[in-house]
Amino acid sequence: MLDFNQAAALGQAIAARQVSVREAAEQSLKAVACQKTKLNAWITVDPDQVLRQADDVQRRIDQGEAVSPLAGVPVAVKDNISTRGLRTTCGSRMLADYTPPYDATVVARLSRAGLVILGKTNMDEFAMGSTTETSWFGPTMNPWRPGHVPGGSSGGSAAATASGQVLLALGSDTGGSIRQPCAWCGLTGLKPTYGTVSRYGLIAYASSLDQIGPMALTAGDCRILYEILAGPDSRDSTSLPDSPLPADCKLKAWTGGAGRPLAGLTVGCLDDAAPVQPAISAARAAAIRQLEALGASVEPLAMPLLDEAVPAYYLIATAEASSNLARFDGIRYGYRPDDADVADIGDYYARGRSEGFGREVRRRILLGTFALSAGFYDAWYLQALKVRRLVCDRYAEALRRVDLILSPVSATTAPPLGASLADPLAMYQSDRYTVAANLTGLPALALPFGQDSQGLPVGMQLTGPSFSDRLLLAAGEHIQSAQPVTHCAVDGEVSA
Amino acid sequence: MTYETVIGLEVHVELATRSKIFCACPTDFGQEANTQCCPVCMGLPGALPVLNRAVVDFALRACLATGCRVSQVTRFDRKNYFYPDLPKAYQISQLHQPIGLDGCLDLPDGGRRIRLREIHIEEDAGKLIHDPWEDVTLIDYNRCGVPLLEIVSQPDLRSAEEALAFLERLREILLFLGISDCRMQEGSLRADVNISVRPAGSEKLGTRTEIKNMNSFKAIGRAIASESRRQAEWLRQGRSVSQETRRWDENKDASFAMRSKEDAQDYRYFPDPDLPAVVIDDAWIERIKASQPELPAAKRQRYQAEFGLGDYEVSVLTTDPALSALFEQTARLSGRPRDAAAWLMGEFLQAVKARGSRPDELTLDPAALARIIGMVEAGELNRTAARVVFQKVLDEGADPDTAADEAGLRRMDDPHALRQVVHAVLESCPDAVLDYRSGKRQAFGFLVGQVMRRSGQKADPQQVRDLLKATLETD
Amino acid sequence: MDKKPDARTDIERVAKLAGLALDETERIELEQEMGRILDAFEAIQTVDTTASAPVYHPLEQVNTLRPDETQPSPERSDLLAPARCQKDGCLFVPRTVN
Repeated sequence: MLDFNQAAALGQAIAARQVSVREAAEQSLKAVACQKTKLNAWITVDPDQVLRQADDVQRRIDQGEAVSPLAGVPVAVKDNISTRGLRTTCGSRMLADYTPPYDATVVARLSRAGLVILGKTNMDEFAMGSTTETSWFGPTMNPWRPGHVPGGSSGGSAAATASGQVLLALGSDTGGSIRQPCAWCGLTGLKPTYGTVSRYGLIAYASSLDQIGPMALTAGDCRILYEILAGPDSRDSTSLPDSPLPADCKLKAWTGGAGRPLAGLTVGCLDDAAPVQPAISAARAAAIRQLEALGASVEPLAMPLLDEAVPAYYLIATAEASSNLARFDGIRYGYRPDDADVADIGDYYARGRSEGFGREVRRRILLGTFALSAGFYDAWYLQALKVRRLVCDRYAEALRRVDLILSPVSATTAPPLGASLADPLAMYQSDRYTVAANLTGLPALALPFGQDSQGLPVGMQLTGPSFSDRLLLAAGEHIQSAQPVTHCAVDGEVSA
Repeated sequence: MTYETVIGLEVHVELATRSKIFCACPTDFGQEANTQCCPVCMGLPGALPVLNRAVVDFALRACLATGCRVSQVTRFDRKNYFYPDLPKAYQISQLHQPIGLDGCLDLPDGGRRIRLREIHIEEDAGKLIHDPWEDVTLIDYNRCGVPLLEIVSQPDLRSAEEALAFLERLREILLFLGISDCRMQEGSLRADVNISVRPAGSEKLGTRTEIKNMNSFKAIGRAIASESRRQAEWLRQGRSVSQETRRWDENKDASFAMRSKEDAQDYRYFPDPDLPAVVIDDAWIERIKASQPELPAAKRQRYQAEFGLGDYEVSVLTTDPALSALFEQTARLSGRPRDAAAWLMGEFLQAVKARGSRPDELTLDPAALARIIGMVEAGELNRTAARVVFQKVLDEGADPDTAADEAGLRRMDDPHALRQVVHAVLESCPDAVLDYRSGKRQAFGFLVGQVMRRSGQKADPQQVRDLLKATLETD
Repeated sequence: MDKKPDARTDIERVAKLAGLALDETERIELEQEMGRILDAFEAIQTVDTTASAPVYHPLEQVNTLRPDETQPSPERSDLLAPARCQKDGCLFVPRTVN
């Protein structure tokens, strides 16, 4: 039995020929099989394809091809990221039989780096949800407490990683969909600076907000995976060349020092009156103590407009989604109603789309269509874009005063299954701490900080200036080297 | 009461870029269905657009040529509607910040100045084919993502004639800019007509209808005439014209209502979040200006001033950019613009017409034509021989000198050789010689013809006449 | 300015634009949910944005253009593979226009 809980260590063992790529893949496949019914973390796993990849990577390693530090390590890919020849469903009946004819740029980069794509993970339908309960393929369970949700929308990636089936996963984050499931499953996850990771092949929810990012137990693994994912892509017009931090960015001068590696950093702790669960306040206090112990100075930071950021976010996200999801008409791919029953072309569209999309997706498409429709565009959509400007301005100002911003990821820990679906508005409002990073494009890192009284993990979030992704991850590594991350006990067995 | 017709045009032209507007698929016309498609232009989930720089360059050429104000920041918007020829269910177009605004175009022969409201960039949709056998519509996405310019006029046109003159003038500008081939039959130039009528002398615009689906200039002319008659007739009968979109039916020679304003679409335009803005700075505009081709109006003036050509020659030579380029090069290489014009308007255009093709489809090396002109000028080829050489140059790409030599067409200007031919003819035709000497003057023509024939048409006819006369009179 | 839709007519209009068909039960439920969501979202109407320009892109990068170069298109059979209805290299839908 292999015993690794960090991808970097597994990668080293594979490079040193202590472990074969096939062994690593087989172990993951075995774990997938064991926990399949309990967690429902995966939508598609094709063992033959996995082993073929594994053998191919092994051959490349044996031939001395310089692959990457993660060569041979299995990785989970969220099911809204296109994989050539491997079904990509977005957790929707609409795409239940869709196999893309091309790879997303990030998937091509993973393959080039020699990672073995283990399969596609469950998610809220079209990433619209915060609990992975809106999936056509059924809900995913939280490995820490299977009666609870794992968070969402990247809940399948989080559950698969937290339960040790894989050590690394890709998620996508439109309003918190990487950070919140990481927080609820005790993982580290980065929502990168908008534009630093290619969106080509990511089935869009909201194009100006979506970003793909790494999820893993530790910031160290996230950093290695991020290095493979990031970089400009000529197929994505919104992808950016790696930009240095601006000269006036104080974070630039951060070098740290022995024993006090965060010395010189000022961290603004979000000063917010909204209620949070006691475990969240406790984690915030622990995070402040930890940051100070590592040498950072922490000060309270008032951040107006948090209340308005959520509606601005939802109006923008759903408006873009209403257009992005219009292409699902069953003609070139996807769910198609029976032609024989169709009266005319309008009926054809309405039938297929209403049967192919689930309730939450239909609701968001309607909301977004409304926000863009004649007579309402200015008051809703355009106003949301202007509020977005104010949010961007406030964050830019704040990040001139402080280097990083500390905040909760969520006001609660993972709720029980079914608790969130009844009230969509409450679900939307629970994104209060995460949507700002998407509205502003700023990078934000979710880090695990202990557990609540039920043993459910709590996460805290660090937000930095644009292009500070690597520094955020480095800060996370310092925090985690001072206090290692707790692993989830699976099947009564605690991984060391 | 008499009515005045008020017309505005929305002209769509496909740009002649090599690749599509947002992906690297080729734009070739007439290929097998769905073979020029990729995830981007077929709207596969996750595919993203990247703008083709040449599309912006071409749009800037059109803006500069029509005096449009170029937007410093131009953006793309999504126009959302469901239709099977539109794979993403939105067309990427420009509504809020089009690339060019407030241009103008002058009608020919000192005609009126027609204002342009805007020029914007958009992508073309696919093609629907209605299956004759089954109750289905087939979809070919090859045309999806071919770049288009939409050029929108103000309602400044007053008749079908003016509308057609406007289109001709616009077409000629776009052709000479080299940004579109403007072939209506292939759909690379399409025009929608907005038309209303009002009592003559009234300033207020009447209710307009929009007519679509005309695929020739002739159809546009007929559609305008027919619709303005229909509207005037309705008003005379005291009915009101309703705002609607009408479809021209070529076979029935009439237009039919497609949809009324009431069920007009709400397109929910919004800025495309996949496409960053395009910032057009002065340097970019200057770069385009510096390489802007000469426009037909300027060419016409220059041909008259520089080459002394007449109105008719000038107008023929400036109908087509390939023809005018051939003319300019031949004129320069030969130094004889009038001869160049005569050859191109005569032999060359006849050949174009005989083949049912376009000037750019025939290959003619201007240096070869210049050489032929030079040989005629130097007396090395007579006109008949020069035409034969021209055909060989045009058909086979032959070198004019080689062609002349191989076919033995070069003029026989060796006086000794010609004298031998003359003697031989006189010996073989004693009857004709007798006739001539007895005063039958028509015999002379016969003898000239015989000499020309024996020389293989290579002799100079004047030289033959002189020599023949001298020989008959001295012998 | 009319901010709130007249619920009944509006949800039908919006659903039509969105290419969705709602049955009666769902229409009533969604109407209520949408009403509640929009009531809550009205908070943004009170934000003073007179001095702020809309954000179209988070990082406002510009001029990401590609050269006018072609690449061979992928195999037609690959591209059309995910489609359910094909005929003669074309996809098809029920007849649209006469």
